[in-house]
Amino acid sequence: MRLNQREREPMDALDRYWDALVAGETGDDDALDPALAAAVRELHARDDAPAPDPAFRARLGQRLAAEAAVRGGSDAVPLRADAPGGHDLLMIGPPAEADQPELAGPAQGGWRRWLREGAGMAAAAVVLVAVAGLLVVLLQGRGEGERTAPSAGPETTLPLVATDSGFTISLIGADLAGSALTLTFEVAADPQATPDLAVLDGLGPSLPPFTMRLSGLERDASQPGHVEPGTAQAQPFAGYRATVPVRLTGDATDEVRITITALRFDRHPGDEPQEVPGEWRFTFVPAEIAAEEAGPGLEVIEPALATLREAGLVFDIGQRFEVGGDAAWRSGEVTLDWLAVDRDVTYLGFTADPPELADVILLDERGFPLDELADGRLAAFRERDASGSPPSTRWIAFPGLDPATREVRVLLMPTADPSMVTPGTTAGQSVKTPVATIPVDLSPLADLPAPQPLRARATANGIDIDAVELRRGVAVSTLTLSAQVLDPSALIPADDLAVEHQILPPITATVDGVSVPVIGQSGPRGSAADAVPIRLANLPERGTLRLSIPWWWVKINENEREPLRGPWELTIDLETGASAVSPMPNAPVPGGGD
Amino acid sequence: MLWSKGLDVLRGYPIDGATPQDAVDEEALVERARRDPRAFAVLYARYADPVYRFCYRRLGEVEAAEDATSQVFLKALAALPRYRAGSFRSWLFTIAYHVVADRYRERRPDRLPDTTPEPIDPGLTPEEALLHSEAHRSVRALLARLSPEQREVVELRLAGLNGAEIARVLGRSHGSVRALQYRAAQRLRAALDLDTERGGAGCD
Repeated sequence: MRLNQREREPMDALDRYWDALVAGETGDDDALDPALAAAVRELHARDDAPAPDPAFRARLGQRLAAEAAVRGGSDAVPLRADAPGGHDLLMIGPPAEADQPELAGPAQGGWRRWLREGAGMAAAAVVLVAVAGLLVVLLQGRGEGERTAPSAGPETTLPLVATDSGFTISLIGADLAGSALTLTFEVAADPQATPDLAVLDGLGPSLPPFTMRLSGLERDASQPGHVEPGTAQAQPFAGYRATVPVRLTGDATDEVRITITALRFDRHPGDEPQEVPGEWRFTFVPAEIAAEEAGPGLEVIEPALATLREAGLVFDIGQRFEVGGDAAWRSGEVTLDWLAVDRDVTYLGFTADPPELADVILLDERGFPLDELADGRLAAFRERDASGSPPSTRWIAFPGLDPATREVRVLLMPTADPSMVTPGTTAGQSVKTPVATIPVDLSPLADLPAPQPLRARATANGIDIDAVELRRGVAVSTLTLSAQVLDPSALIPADDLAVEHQILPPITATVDGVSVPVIGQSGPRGSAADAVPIRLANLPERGTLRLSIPWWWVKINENEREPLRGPWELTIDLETGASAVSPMPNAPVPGGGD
Repeated sequence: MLWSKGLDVLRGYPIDGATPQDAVDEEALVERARRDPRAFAVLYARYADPVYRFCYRRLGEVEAAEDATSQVFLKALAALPRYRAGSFRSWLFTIAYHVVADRYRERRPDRLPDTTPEPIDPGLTPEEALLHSEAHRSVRALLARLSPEQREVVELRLAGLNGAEIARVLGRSHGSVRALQYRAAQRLRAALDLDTERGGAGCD
């Protein structure tokens, strides 16, 4: 089933509008949400990235003119400039040797020549099937830096990027479950260093389409073992990404170094593979990067799902869809597993193989895509076996649905480029964008109580936090909090970590001393409203709710929030909505985040 | 203006009286530059500003943006003979995209754009500098509310690319770009506290 016009129209309308805007045109479009158009216009209006300094433009112009003169065969011989680091813009001269792909080292000449010849021999539909040899260098501890220069310090932030032999490999994701470490690499061709690749498919300097397999995860016996290779010898490559499982033999807080030593391309069809030697080095602490990348697992919302299932509000789907058509990259299957609906939140669970196959979009009854409230990832990754093979189960939280809704639709938008081709086919393959229709009966949501106003407040460090409203759901209740700055001079910034990683505060909740799971809260992204909802699972009808908030994203001006330190302790009588007189004993349980 | 000081120094190649403001067929310009690299002057004049601003938005520092811009054009000039017909703009911004990625690699994590100090043009008065800093910070604050994928799309939009060109730069389908920018616009709308007629699609 393909995406129909009605479902595509809101996104298409915005795309047309934005195209016109950047082209300096304007236009009316009935299908365009005017608020979105206003947001886009406002963004452009606020953009004040400066023009380059005229002196810089002139210097660069001089250098380019000199380069062009050399390349164009001018008689004028410009001054020679050795250009380490590219800081010689005042000097004129031909490029350093490293800038010239044709002067690359002998190890690369062969495969480049092969690519060039291959491009000449084959038609536009030439496709490479790539196999990457990956050698994991196994080092332990931080004291062996002399052997391989680390590419990152101990405070690792993804992505980690390494460039060699005309290819940039980025470590863009990591997931850690016990000793099982799953790494996600992305490969890109340097458009200048691998110019021949552009010949193959007309994609300019982009990496041409190919299917990539990772293999050769081998342990370096000469080094102390710290990472064991995964057992899988080949991983299908999704797009330009590959997921590589390894197993830690040491502590996750110890530094790990991995070197990819070769990319091997299997030319299609049936020719000898060509290997691109290189050294793409990555140094990281697994616990650091995995903690940053991994989202909450299914366990975070499990308490709510169980209650929703009892109430008949979990709708099993079990439909499997092929996504991506004939394109081998970013093609695969998505299985929609279940849909769970409560008053203010809708959860969709699905399984994707490969994991980043498609954007999963929930459409309301009018066909408008709903924004994502949150995204839970990698639950199955954490439980996968040593082979580490996909698929991965994920869930996405969307807003609630109208109780009168009788069916919802899910759009699977492939991330594949439809111009990509797969071995043995021609360009321009169709890319399937399935739409699933899911019948639902949301009648249990019709009888929920009206929103309950709350009157509870806590003050700390110049900030008031008020509990404004409680909206009870069948399983997920939404408590709305509002923060106000009373005394700007008393504000205390929260941990820098919060700023850097946009994380959410670990709110804990109890009712009469019994923990209540905090399964979601609005994050700083996409939300500049004063009121912020907190989602609580299975909130009792009576008792004293106590919320502990160590720090909070506080709106400090019209456009910005800052993480500011509390703590705030809110106590709320759930029957009256007022502040409870005597806080009950606290048995906090760290809140997750959906 | 596209004809600015940067072009004045690109001497030695006749432009045949054409001005960048004219609707000159870009592919013809590129083809001419492929045959004679000195014609690259026109393309440089046309794209120096947008490429620099793209690098500046991504890197957040004048010096880094200048270095990256230099690399982009030097690489583009070197690779121009291998350019094949298509969109020169998306080809050039693909180079820019990868150059910026290389810059990330060279930086320490704490120097990535989201955390870099606000650059101040030394030529500005203190008042102008303050205004500039606040305005740009708010743009960056808006971008910080987006996911990395959404931000990439929006930054390329700010660079003037259309949806199809962005798809080529990022190696994504146009449909995927449409979905990303739609969600990005939703987040921006929420961030800007704009009224919405979307009753059922509230964001939190």
